[in-house]
Formats: sequence, C-alpha cells, structure tokens
Amino acid sequence: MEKIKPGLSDYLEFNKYRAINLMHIGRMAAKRGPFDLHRDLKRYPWLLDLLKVNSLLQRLVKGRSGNYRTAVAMVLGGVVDGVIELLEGIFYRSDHLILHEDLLPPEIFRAMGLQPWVPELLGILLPMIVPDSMQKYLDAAENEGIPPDICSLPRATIGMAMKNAFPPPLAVVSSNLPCDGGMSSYTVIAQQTKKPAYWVDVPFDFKSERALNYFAGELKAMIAWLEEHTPGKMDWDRLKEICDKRNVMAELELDIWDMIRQRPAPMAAEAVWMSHLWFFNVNPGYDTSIQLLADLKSLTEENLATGISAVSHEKYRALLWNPPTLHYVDLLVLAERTYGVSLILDSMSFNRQPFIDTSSTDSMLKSLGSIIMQGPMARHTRGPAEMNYFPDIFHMVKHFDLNMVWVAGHIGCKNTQAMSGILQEKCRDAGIPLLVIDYDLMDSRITPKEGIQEQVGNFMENIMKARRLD
Amino acid sequence: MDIDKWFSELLDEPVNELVQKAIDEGQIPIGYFCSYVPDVMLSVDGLFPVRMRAPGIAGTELADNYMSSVICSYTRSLLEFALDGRYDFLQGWVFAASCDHLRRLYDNLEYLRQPGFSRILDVPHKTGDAAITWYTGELRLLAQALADHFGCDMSADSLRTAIREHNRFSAILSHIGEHRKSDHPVMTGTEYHRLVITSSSSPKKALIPILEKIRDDLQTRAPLPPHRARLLLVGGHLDDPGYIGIIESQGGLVVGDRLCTGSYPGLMPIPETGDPIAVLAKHYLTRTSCPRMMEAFRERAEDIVSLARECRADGVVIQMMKFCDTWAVEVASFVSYIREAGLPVLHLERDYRLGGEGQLRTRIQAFIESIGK
Amino acid sequence: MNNGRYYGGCDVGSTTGKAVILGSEGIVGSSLIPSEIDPEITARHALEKACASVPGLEGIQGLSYLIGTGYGRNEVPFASENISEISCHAMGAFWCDPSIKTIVDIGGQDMKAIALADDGSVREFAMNDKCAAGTGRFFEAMSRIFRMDLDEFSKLSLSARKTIPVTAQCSVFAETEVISLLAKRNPPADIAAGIQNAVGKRCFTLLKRVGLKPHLTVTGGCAKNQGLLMELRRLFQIDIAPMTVDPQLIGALGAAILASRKK
Repeated sequence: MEKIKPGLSDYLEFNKYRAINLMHIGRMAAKRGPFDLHRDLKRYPWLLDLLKVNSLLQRLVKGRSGNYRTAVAMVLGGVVDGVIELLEGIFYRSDHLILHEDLLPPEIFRAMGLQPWVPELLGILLPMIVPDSMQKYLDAAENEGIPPDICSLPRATIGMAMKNAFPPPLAVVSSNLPCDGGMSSYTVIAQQTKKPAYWVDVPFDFKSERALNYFAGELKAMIAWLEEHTPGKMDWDRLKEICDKRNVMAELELDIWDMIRQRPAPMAAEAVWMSHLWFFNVNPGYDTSIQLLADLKSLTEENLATGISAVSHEKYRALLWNPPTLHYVDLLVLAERTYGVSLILDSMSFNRQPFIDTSSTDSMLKSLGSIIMQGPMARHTRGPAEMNYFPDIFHMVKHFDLNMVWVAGHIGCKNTQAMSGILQEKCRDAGIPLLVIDYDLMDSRITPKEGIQEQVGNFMENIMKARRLD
Repeated sequence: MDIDKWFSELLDEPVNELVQKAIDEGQIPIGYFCSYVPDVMLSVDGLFPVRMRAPGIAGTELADNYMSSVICSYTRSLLEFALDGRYDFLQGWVFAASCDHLRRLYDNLEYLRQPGFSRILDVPHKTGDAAITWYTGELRLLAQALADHFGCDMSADSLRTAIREHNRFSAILSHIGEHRKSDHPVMTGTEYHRLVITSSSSPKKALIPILEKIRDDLQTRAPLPPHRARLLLVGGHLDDPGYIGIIESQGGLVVGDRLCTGSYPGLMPIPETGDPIAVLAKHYLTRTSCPRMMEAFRERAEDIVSLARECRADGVVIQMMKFCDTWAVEVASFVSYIREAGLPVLHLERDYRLGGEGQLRTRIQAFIESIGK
Repeated sequence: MNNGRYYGGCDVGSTTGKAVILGSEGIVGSSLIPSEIDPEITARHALEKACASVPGLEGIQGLSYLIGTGYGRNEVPFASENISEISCHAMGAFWCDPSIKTIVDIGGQDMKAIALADDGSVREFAMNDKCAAGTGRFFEAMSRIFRMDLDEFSKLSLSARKTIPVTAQCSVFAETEVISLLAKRNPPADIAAGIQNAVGKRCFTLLKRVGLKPHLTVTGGCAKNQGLLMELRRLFQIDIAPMTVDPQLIGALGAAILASRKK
C-alpha cells in the first residue's frame, strides 16, 4: 500500500497556515509591547504553551493531503484567531470579564456586552499542544485535598485557580452541568477568585416544556443578576442577531454532516469535531465562524464532487464517544495512517437540537436552554441513558454508516464508566465492534500515548483483523 | 428480650421480620435511595418506605462489571444486591436524580431489573422559590403516579395524616437521640444509629411501642462509662452502626450527627398545615443540606459548626464515601471552615462495606490523642 | 522521671518489633527484632531483649509503666495502655530534636506524615496504610529484583546519571515495569533512582496534606535508605534532620517517654 505523500500544494498550504498563526501571535505580541508581554508571560505561564500551537498544526496535518489537510489547518487557524481574540478580551476588557462554566450560553454574555472567559478551555487546548502541560495544575489541586478520582478537567481548573493562573473576573457564573465534579469545582473556584458567584440550575428532565420553561426562567434570573453585579446589560436585538447567525452556522454544519454520510467521507476528524467544539461553543454567531464553516462546506463539496476521500484509504468509519484524547489528540491521525480509520463524528459535536427560535425573547431563551439540555455533555452525562446516551450512539452508527464505536474511556468520567457494562452488551447484541480506551483525559502519566496506541492496535488487529497500512 | 440484639437482627437482612410481616398483611414496600425523596409520601395508605441498604455485602463483582469500580461503592453494593435478587420483595422504587452515581444506578437498574414501579425525581440544585415550585410539580407527578399504579389515596388529607404520623415518630426518635448529648450521656451513638437505621428500613408503625419503651427507660438509665472525647459525626449515607462502634471503641463518643441517614436533618419536624405537597417539597429540598446544592456551602458548614457547639463536641469527624464527587471536592473547604471556627476535624474516606477496622481505629485514636483527650 | 524507675515503650509493627527502656539517665536499653505472627509474642521477645541489657531491671514486670504502640498494640495485654503510633512517633522525634516540625515515617507496610505543633503535640496527620507502594515491603521486593540486599540497593541510586521514571502506581505493576526496564539494559542505578523518585513522590503527597515545615525528619526502617534520603532532599529542597537514635526506634522511644510521664 503506498504511503500517503503530501504534494507541493499541501506543503504550501501548511506553511501558509503556519505563517497565519504566527502572524496572529505576532500581532498580539506587538500590540502588548515588550513590557506588558513580559508581565503577561510571568502571570500566565500557560501562554508559553499556547505559543507552540504550530507544533500541533504540524502533527495534525501529517499524512493528510488536499482539501482535508487544508480544512484541518484552517480550523486550527480559526481556533488560534479565536484564542487571540479571547486573550485580547482578557487584557483589554478586564472590566467586563466574567468567568463562566463551559455549558452556559456565551451568546447571552456577548449580547450583554460582557467578556466571557471559560477556564476549561485552557484545560482542553493546552494538553493538545503540550501533552503534560496540565500536570502541575492537577498536582496543585491534589495537594490541596482534591482527590485524584475527580475528573481531571475540573481538577485542573481548580488547580489553575489555586495557582492564580486566571485573569481576575468581575463575577463567576456556573451551573450544575455537566456533572457533579464540574459542578462542585465551582464552589472552590468561586472561593479562590473571591468574587460574587451565581449558579444556574438545569433540570434533569431535558425535554419537557416544563423543564424548558424552568431553565429559561433560570437564564432570565442569571441575566438579572449579571445586570446587577456587572456592567453587562442585555441587548435583546444583539442576542437575536447572534442567534440568527448561529442558525446559519448550524445549517452549514448540517450540510457538512449530510455529506460525510457518504462512503468514503469527503471530510473527517478535526475538520468536523474541532470546528464544532470551538466555533459553536466559544464563538457562536461570529461572522468569521460562519465564513469558516462555509469554507469547510465548500472544501467538503469539492471532495464529494470529485470523489476524493478525506482519509486516503478509508477502510473503517468510527464514532468517537466522549471528549477526544486531549493529551494525545494525534491519535486520530495515527489511526488514519496505520489502519485507514476515518473519524466521522463524535459525541461532543452531535446534537439533536441545533436551531434557535428567534421570534421572541422567551423563545430564544428556551431554544438556548434546549441546545444545552439536548446537547453534548449535558445529554450524555445525565441520562436517563435509555433516552439519550444509547439512542444517540446507535443512531449515529446507523445514520452515518459507521463500522465501530470508540469510547475514549476517560477514567475520571464516572458517568461514562458507569455505562460501560451496558454499552458492551448492547454493542455485542447489535454486532457493533466497541473499543474502550482506558486513559485519563489530560494526565498522560495514567496512560501515556504508547499505552493508548497499544490499546488501539490490539483492537484493530485482533478484533477488526485490520492490516497495517504502513 | 435483648433489645440491642433484636435491632441488630432487624438490620441483617433487607427483608427483616417486620418487613415480612407487613408484606404478609398486604402492605406495599417501596424502596428509596436518597434523603431528597420524601419518604412521607411513600408512607401513605398501605405503602411503607424502605431506605435501600446492602447489609453484609461481600463483594461487588457483578456490579463492577456494569458500573465499573470507580463509582461510589454504595450504589455498586445496591446493584449487586439487586442482581442477586435481594430486592425482589419491593414493589417499586423511587430515586432522586441527586448525584451522578445514583442517576447511573437508576439507568443500570432500569436496564437490568425493570421493576414494576420506578420513578426518578428531578431534584433541583438550588432552594429558591423557582426551585421549590419546580419540586412541588415533581412531587405532584409522583403522587399521581403512585395513585395510578397502586390505587392508593394520595389526597391532601391522606398526606397530612402521613405527615402527622411522621412527626410523631420523629419526635420519639429525636427525644431518644437527645440522650446522647447530655453531660453524662446514657446512650451511645452506635446504639442510637441502630435505631435510626432500623426505622428507615422497616415499617415505622411496628417500631413505635418499643421505641416509646426505650425512650421511657432512658430516663432512669445509668450514665455510660467515661469516654475520652465527644465527637460529632458528619457525612452522607452511613447505614452501618458498626462504623460508629469502631469510633466509640477508641473512646470517642458520638454525641451528635449530621448524616443523611441520621438524626439531623432527617428527623426535623415537617409543618402540618398548608398544601401538603408544597410543604413536603419545601421541607425536603431545604433541609437536606447536601453538597449537591450549589449555593449553600456556607450554610452547610455553619450547620456543622452550630451542631458541634450544641452537642458540646470536642471534635468533628467527617467521613465520606470514596469516589463521591460532591463531598470530595467540598470537604477540604469544610475542614478549613470548621478549623477556623476553632474545632478540631478529622477527615476520613471509607467504602460502603465496613472494612479496614485497624486503620480506622488508628486514625480515631490518633485524632483523639491529638486533641489532648 | 523518678530515680530507679524504668519505663518501657514497645512498637509492634508488621515487619519488626521494637522496644525502648528509659531510665533516669535516658535510654538504657533497646531492641529491634523481626516480627512473629503473634503480636503478643513479638512484644514479649522485643521487651525481654531490651530489658536484658538493663542491670537492675527484672524483666518486663520490673517496668513501672509500659505503653504499646504500632499495628499490634491492641494485642499486648501486659501493656499498661496503648497509644497510637502517630502520637508516639511525634513524641519520640520531638524528644530527640524539639526543632522538628514535620515527620515522615516510612515503615514496613505503611507511610505516615505528621505535623507537629510548637509543643511537640500532633497538629495534623495523614496516613497511607492501604497500599504497599512506597513502603519497606516495596523496597524489599525491588532489591530482590536487583539481586541485592536492602542496604546495597539503597545506595545504588547514589551513582545514577539520570532518573528513569517508574510510572506504575501500584507496587505489583511497578515490579513488572522494573523487570522490563532491566531487561532492556537500562542502567540499574538510573532505574533505582526512578524507584526512589516514585517513593519520594508518595511522601510528597502525604506531606503536602499535613503541610511541610522545617525541620523535617524521616523515621522508620526506610530512614536508613541513603538513596531515598537523597531523593527526598532533592524533591523537598529541604535538609533532613537526623535523629539522635536509630530512626526505627522512634515509635518505641515515644511510647517509653509517654510512659515515663504517667503518674
């Protein structure tokens, strides 16, 4: 089987995005000036890790070519741009900065003129770039009495708060999502920041009208609280504008999802999951997000029209369940090259309710609530499993014509761990091969990348009887 | 009759002699798993509530296969018992969506056991007006479901009767519990906990005569032999009096508790006027004082400090179940708060099944020595 | 301490039994023996041996007060009372050096960290007694793999050029990992350094829980492990204050001192 050799255009595209990333970083550095930059780097040492993003770019484009390579590079470039914008918000709009937990709608905060800052974003981005970057924060939390069995995402966030690695916000807003570890961490984080805190209550019931009304009521109360405690003021027209644009993004994404149902898939992996993760959760309603998704859609359409598959030798189509293996995010690149595994869709992207009814303020709040309640993390961590967890998995397998389910079995995700037995039985009954990778989301000391490779190799070679392509 | 022995035997099996007798008389046992479930509603018109336990659990191999070993051992032990058929006597159960582990226990039981009647209550994580209104709605739905399935009378009058009976029962048990707190206690924490746990896992009516007798006898009981220290025991679900027994074997008398399965806040009286369902919603939501409630850390911590002062405790022992997320994240903050209030604190982790007695003894003994007692 | 009276402390561990006899002049007798299965027999043998070296002391009965400690303390019926090993280690270390504020005791099967108040009383403690990793048992297993005795093994890491990390959390898996590292011909000294590092990190975790304040001392059998001490100095960036008596005897010493303070 011939090795995938990227061509000249691939090489040029790669360097173009490398340069763009450097330009974004350079622009920010120039704006800050040497004195402020030095102070920022001392205050937020994680900035140094973020600066290494081109090493991530290099790892993610390896062995990928054509529109697929461009798409991945473009998505990462968009993330870099988004991160720079976030940093600008921290540095230049700190008088509007609020710290909020990852499952609250940023649309609302932006419509209020506030600068939202989600600490978990660092926990997600940093290990992708520098695999052991979060270890010092995990250890800091553990040394202050947070047990090691708490999920490493809230644990690392607590550790960052304890080490004063966050910009000081005006207020902290959190909720009971996505899980107990995440919810409880904010008690500690609020204590550490010593700022006023507000909590939003999200019902367990994720579907009924009653539940939607309750959540919408909670969001209204949150808005009122923010208006009282911060300079933020809700601009309902602005919210409508953001939501309308988010709807445009959702349409574009659904078009892409439609196309990747085809065999072989014209687009895959980071182009699909990273684009959703960043642009829908952090930058929803941005013109740049719309443009990026439109460009992704064009690249996908072109591939589809010319019969070009994203993964050159697509032999297997996989669903990734649970957040991607953050400290070894190039796993998917390796799986493509070694076994021809195409990661079609993942649980962090798939959702049942992407659209916002912008006809009234009430309908907007209910839709935003529904997006969260019916969306990733909330839907999958809370159950009832027979209504969301399992139906989603088997729907995705069928709808996207997939061969297998990969569960990134993060040891700290107790909600997933507790479903492992049932999932194995159901997959066995349905004849769907299941791989559960035992590891920790961001602590490579638990299972290093070699250990993850071994588990994938054992599954592919022994269960799937796959031949190595390399 | 050796009362201690009798109560101990009642705790040995989920279907003890009182439960069996009630079933034979046509009463309906409904299992429940958490303090947020209004067990009063399960005491109406021929129903009786059974707080779920797994006494004598030896291992959780079957349950671990489904739920994995990083889940709270209480929920795993319950699943193990369910898979062994030990809960087949129940005609239904009511969950609260109180924590990740209980929610997933519910999911596993729905898949593996499919009981006749099963509900999961959507308990808010806050206690404001909107949350109370929401929970009232949930309880109305529960009442309707119970009425539809079991044909029981869930009318306002019927519920008010159940509330009054609950209060009467709680008053007897609380009165008994007061005997732990006096300057010369006549009752150990172990003995008391045995009564409280039996009460939550057996038909309460059957226990009233003997509890009244115990209450009366305590007036003239001789004080206990001297102990080294007075301790307040804090934590979530603890249903094995043996754990307290080990603490007390080292001279640490447990004079009060803040346990989900204990006297505070479980035996607080419920208002007997007003719309009973709304009253129950407010009562159970606001009094339970669990770390799952998002806003109320300070109130919880203050509760513990006040309770410790009320019991004139020399120290506080906080025990939590290993792998519990809500207690685990909060406990370090609790410990600091209580220490700043001038009270010594010992923080312990445990499994559901009583084990590691030597290790527990050492820690309790060292703690008592360290507070100079 | 009254003239002519003798006080005993006996630390019945799972691996070794220790006894210390205090007279008016200080420590007059001591012993360190391997443990028997029956803790009572261990205690008896250790005390008899310690008493035998004290002229004028008629065996165990001649002691004015005897305190038992250690895991087997409840099985010593002839002791006047028993006190937890935490309190005894604290007392023993403080008596040797009142400037000690933190103790890490690494015994045969457990590890403890103790923080002392200014008067030598226990301020806080943390224990790891559910897992053999980072204890004497662990080192015994490791030295067997290296085909060395404990003393030899403990010095091996001193000549390491670098540290090869041993990543396994569990001592059983760590054994497998070490065997594999040796088979791949990694320098034994470097692997030994990795082992010391793994144990050091466990100490670090426990010490963080109680708060590390100078001066720090190490007690228990593993305090004689040179490689471990060097690693601890490096990890904590702090000097380790030595004890003026055998660090393995500190628990028994503390028990004897507490016995001498009984009226």
